[in-house]
Amino acid sequence: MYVAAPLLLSAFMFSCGVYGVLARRHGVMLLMAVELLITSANLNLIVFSQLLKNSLGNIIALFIIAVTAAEVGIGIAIVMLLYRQRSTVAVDELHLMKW
Amino acid sequence: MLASYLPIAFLLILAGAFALVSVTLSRLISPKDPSPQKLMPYECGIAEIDPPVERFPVRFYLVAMLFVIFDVEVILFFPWALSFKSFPVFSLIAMSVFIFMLGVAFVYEWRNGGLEWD
Amino acid sequence: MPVVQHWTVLLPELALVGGAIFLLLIDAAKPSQRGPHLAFITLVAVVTSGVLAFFQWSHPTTSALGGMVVGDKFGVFARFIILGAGFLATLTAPAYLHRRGLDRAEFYALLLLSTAGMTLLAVSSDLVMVFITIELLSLALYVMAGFERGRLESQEASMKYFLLGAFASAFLLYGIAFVFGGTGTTNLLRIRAETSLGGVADFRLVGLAVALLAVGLGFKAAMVPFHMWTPDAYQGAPTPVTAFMAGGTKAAAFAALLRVLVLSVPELRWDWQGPLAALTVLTVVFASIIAVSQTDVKRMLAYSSISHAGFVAIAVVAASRSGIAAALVYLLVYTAMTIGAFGCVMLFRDGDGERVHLAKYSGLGVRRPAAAALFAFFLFSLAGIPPTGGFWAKWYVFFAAIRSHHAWLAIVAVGASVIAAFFYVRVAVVMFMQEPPEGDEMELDSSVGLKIALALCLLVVVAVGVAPGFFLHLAEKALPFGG
Repeated sequence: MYVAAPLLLSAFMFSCGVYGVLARRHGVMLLMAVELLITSANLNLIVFSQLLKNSLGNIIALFIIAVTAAEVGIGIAIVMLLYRQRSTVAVDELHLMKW
Repeated sequence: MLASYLPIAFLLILAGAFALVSVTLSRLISPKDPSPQKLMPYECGIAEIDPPVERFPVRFYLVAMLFVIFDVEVILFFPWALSFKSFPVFSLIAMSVFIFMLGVAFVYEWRNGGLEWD
Repeated sequence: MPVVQHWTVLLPELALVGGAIFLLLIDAAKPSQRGPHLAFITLVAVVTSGVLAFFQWSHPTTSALGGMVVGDKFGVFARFIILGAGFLATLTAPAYLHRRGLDRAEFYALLLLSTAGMTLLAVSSDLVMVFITIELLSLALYVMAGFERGRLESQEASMKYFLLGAFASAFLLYGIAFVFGGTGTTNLLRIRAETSLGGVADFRLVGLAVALLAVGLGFKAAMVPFHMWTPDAYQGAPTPVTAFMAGGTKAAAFAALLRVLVLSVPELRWDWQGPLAALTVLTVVFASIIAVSQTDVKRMLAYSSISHAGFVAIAVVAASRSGIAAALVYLLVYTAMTIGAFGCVMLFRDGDGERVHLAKYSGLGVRRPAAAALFAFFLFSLAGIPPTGGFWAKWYVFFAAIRSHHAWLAIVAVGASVIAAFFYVRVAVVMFMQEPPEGDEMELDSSVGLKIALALCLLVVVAVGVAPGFFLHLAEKALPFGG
């Protein structure tokens, strides 16, 4: 099987996610960037699973999807909490504490 | 191996082409006669000064959040259900525990008013 | 060596999760109930879990869930540290939460779930289990950090902790994917077999994977430069949560780091020891220097906890039997003294809030000598001044580093701890050498739970200070399975 292409795609997605987390300031955008990171890892697992003819990778991917759903649920809850108090979801306005 | 993906590629091309054709076609044949009145958001009344306040439907997000969690947890059932005949009894117990825990979360959510849409 | 499979390894965690489910069910039966019975149920669950874990000490190594979890003495030792942190946090929490109207069942349920995640992390022997347990402990902690919904700092702590925590989990996952790609397995012992002579591992992938795993776990253990969330999360979170995070999470993360680095990829030791040593130096030096400029006591203690992560990491770099034992003793003492220090911050009331600014501590030793002396004792122990337990913990770590030919690390760390001693001693100077302001009676919190918790912390720090050999002996017995 030709693995270089999906692995490169996954690396590209991971880079986009890292860029998103570091550069974006919108709370929901940050959540999406984190999702992108996790999805890229999932893609890797599935590719390796096919390559090694070992279904373990697929099973791990399922677990990750389930766990990530819970994580995003909490992320949305925290963003909502921020929005209710400050009517903004911009993360760079979180600067009560420094150094 | 790649040949088996051909129908999907074909479908993608078809879908893309259809979208492109319909958008350009409607551009080309639709009547265009703009005037200031037509471009206003409302037919009558006072022209708005500020853009409307952005709505943030909190109830919707709450329900969506709870839905996503319960929805996605169900994917763990599928692989188990497909092959559970080849598993020992332990897997049945493990799955019952999992369902029980989801049930506890659900009861908690229900009793605390997470499902009420007011 | 074949290991017996039996699900009873999981009994301590089942007790914790059972307690959490019970709390959620009684809350569902009568929503939004409050009262001391919630904390009591939590304490019962933690103690039950501790007793069940204790029985595993004398048992031979057992594994469960198809080798995903291993019950060895190392796991029991680490579980005891974590359960201790959970127990102490539960003792300190009710008074703090009650004053703010937050003493609800959810808090205690989350505390139990988070503790269960930590103890499972300490016994997991499979990378999938490592990921799931890290998520379990973090998800509960994100919510707990933001539990004071009305206070903006608490929300901010929660958001920052969540974002960087999720970021770290993604790195960990990417690492797990590469380990799987390189070795075809995620079981730590099988990874070890595949990376040994005659294994089939692809070393380029595994090397990359180990780096990513170390980044992911480094975030959880708060090592520089992956520490950015720590000061904000520790300062903003409710103080009992901060104490719990500082003690429990660190113990669990280092238990996992030891299992992954020292046990599963010892063959790549020459590749990971160098970078980890560099991170360690960065951690101890940077955190000690930044801590000097802090005026918020909670934030200062957060930087202190980062520098302590560096000291434990020295023992991980040593990657020897004595290193593992030293790390366990260090984590035990560290948990007791850091929870003790945060407990003292809770003890010093300022009206309805806490005394967090350093200037507010002036003259505390004059008005409340006993309480101030207790705080000073915990600070001296954190600084590593003999004859406290903190001194012996550092001593064993340095000794392990020297024995494994990392003497330079020990020398750098001694230098950093001299800088660190400055800011610990400064608090004591402010408390005892300055005059108290007029009209500030400096009342103490009268909660019994907090006092018991402080007494227990004091007991552990003094016990290790008096009989360090006994604890080291126990820790040496508690070598991880396969070590």
